[in-house]
Amino acid sequence: MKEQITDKALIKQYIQGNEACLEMLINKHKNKVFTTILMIVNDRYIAEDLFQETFIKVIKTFKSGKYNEEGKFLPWVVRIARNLAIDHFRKAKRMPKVTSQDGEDIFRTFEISERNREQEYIRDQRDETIREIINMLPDEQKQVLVLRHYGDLSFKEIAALTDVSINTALGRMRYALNNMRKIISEKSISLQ
Amino acid sequence: MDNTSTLNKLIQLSYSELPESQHEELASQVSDSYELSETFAVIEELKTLLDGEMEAPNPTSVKIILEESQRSSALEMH
Repeated sequence: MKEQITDKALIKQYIQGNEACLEMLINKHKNKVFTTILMIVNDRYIAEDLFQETFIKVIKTFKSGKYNEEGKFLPWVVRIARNLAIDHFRKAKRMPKVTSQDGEDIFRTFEISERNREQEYIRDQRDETIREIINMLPDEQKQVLVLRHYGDLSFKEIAALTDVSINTALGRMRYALNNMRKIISEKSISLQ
Repeated sequence: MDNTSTLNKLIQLSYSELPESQHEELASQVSDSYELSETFAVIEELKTLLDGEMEAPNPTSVKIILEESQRSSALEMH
């Protein structure tokens, strides 16, 4: 069986100048990182931007020599992505409103229009049903679910990140899975 | 082990987060108990559904990242 090259080896070779190793590293983890971001921001366009920002930040850290080899790569990237997503929401709240003649916030109108288009797209897609269910979960449960399942953070890491005990993190995951199961059952969703 | 604690352990088992000895012990209990194996199967099924939601970024995003890396590497050389 062909041995997969480790993240540590890919990073080392990239820092030494092998650009191809960066591409391999990104391709290995891109889906998990992107899905984590998408689940947090729930907007594909924003997720694409944040995905780029995340890895550009990763590159800068590698090139500055500040990357800590002791931690796992994917959880580290996911933490960066999550922080950027939080920053994005903070900035969005601070953006000044521009109103149209009738007093409506024109960006809100645009946002609603875009959101309706996005919602329509979501409704048309059978595969989006599970994503809708995830979005129905309380934020605390959704966060643990997304960070564990897509972000590959351990429950211990999630507990530290969200400032709770590991039992609380596990409890939120337990509730998240249970609530998912209930919603699926209530909606009699066929997932075949 | 109470029900809550059991469920927590099953979740940790499913995500391979238990120490090896606990992992083996619980895996053995799961295979010996109809109730535990049913509960574990539900967890695994939900995880499979979650896996189905995995999405890929647009290839353009990856291209932009790689171009930025090459650009910054070129700048370092000068």
